[in-house]
Amino acid sequence: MVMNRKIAVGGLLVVLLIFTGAVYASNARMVWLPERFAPDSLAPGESKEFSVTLQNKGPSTLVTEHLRISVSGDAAPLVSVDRRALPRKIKRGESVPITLMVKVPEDAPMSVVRGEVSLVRYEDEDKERGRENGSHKKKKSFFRNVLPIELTVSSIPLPPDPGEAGKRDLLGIDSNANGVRDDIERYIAFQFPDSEKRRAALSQYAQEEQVFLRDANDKEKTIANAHASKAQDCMYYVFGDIDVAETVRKKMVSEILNTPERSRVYAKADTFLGGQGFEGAPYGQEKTWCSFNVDVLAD
Amino acid sequence: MSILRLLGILVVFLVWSVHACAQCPMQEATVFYVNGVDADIKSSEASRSKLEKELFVRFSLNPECVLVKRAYNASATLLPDLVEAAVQKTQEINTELSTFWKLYLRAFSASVGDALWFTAMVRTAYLGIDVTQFVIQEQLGRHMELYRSELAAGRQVILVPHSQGNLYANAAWNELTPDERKRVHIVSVATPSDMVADGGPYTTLAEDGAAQWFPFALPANAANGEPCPDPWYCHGFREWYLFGSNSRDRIVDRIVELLPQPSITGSIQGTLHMPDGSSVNQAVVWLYDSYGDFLDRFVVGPSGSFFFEGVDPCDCVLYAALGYWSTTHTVHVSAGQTTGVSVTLDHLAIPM
Repeated sequence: MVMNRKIAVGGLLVVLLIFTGAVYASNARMVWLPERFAPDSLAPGESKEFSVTLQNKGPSTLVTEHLRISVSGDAAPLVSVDRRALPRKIKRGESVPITLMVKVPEDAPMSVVRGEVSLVRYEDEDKERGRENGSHKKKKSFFRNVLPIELTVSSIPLPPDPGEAGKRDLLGIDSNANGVRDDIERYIAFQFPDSEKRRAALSQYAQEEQVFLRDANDKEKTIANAHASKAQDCMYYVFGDIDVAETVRKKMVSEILNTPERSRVYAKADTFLGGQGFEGAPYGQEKTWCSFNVDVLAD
Repeated sequence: MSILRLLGILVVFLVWSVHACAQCPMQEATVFYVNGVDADIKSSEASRSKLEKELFVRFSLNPECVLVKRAYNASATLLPDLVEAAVQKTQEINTELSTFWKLYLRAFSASVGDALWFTAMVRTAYLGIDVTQFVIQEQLGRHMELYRSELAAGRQVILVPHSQGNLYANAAWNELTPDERKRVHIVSVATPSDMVADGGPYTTLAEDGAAQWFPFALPANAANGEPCPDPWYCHGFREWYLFGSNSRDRIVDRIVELLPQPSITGSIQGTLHMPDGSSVNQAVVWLYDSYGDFLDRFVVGPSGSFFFEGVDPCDCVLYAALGYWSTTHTVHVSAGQTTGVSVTLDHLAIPM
């Protein structure tokens, strides 16, 4: 009798554990791909559809009867989800494409808008408790894995923010291969959204810095790069004031050297240049050191 | 054909040389900014560029005659050591590494953002330097090559060292030959040293905390009279020394004083004629300034020519007389220029 009771209690515990474990595992293993949704910038008034993937990496099939895909945060007004995209069941290991529709209002300011997409379970409390006073209540629970959203609203085309991935190695991420690290390209655009000339001057500088860092372990190349450097004097021309340009330049350099590796490499390369003599742009001809046509760009 | 081509090149070169000389009423000079340890390669360019602008805008110097370059002095292990300290410190206090760079590069002053840790870190690094020994011979050797190259091109050299750059400038001057020393001068700024090698002028600001860290350094001899945000910031060449009008004027004025001076006088080359156009055989020409004060006289030769040199710029008056013939003639004399005149004795007058 005692034995049977022990077996019963034990069995109950096992069932409970299996049940909670399955739910937990199921919750924990719904995975979004990519892990972060940060597309290229969208201009005000622009609409675009993007496809992401929801993958069931749990141990069992997921029934989606009470599930919804929800967008929260500041991005909620801009992002909607095609509800029909969610099938009734997602089998173990199955991947489901989900379409995110992004629509940026015409009057949206240049900004970074964040939010998240999540899978939400809605349970009708009415069914559990019966209808009370005619009210219809639903309680929701969130799956643990969410899809962080980072939308860049900008009339200047920009690559996505690389985030921490952009800090993993010396040269970072330059997704559009324009010679400027993505995080720096975005930094420049947000600093000077209204001046094409200043953005061009800072981009020229950032390109030179990227080359300088790339070659920083080679003394001869470092010296050659330093002698070939023209962007700084171009900046002085474009900004029209050395002191103003220097404050801007130094803040940008501080962003460029934002990891221990980049800082160490830069400091070491600087030591290669000791004893060298340098000339700036001939006085009054700083404009000729710009790699772009200053006169045709909007200020 | 090749000889003709060579001759052509020679003619072009001679014409160009004459043109270049004409462009520079004074002897050509090169100003070298020699940075201190508180800079990276780009900060030194900012300082050079600012110095150049102050010189050219305020004194209308000819950029073809006066060049402003930099002799870069890398900080050896100081910057790498500072970066290592900054990596540790920023992790310790959970601050972005970019904050260190903003402070080190003086994008703003250290008092902003409560970054006293930064000035303490830099002070420790600075005080770890033996300022009397902190000259890297290899770098000094390259600097000497730069200076001697300018001297060989016939240019005067003016060194404007800042902070630890003074040690390089002093060491370089001491290695020059006596003849070279006559054409190389130092305008010292924020020196940690107790001397300027050529005995030249120096400027150290009272509010420059970093300069005061060195007890044997030349004492402060100027002040900008403005509150200093922090000692590190106020040690900056461009940020503080060229920013404050007192120190800026001191530095720039000293440089200009050391530039080879252009000729400040002019001359008059003239010919005296009789009323019928024939040459005057014997006559005297007197030169007066515009107030009627006598300046000089010249006895003309058989060809009637006369020449006054070393004349201060003026609207001078020439008076010439021969017997009962005489004349007066106004001549505009410009600095560094020879004015040509043709004077005719045209009426009978009683000599002055």
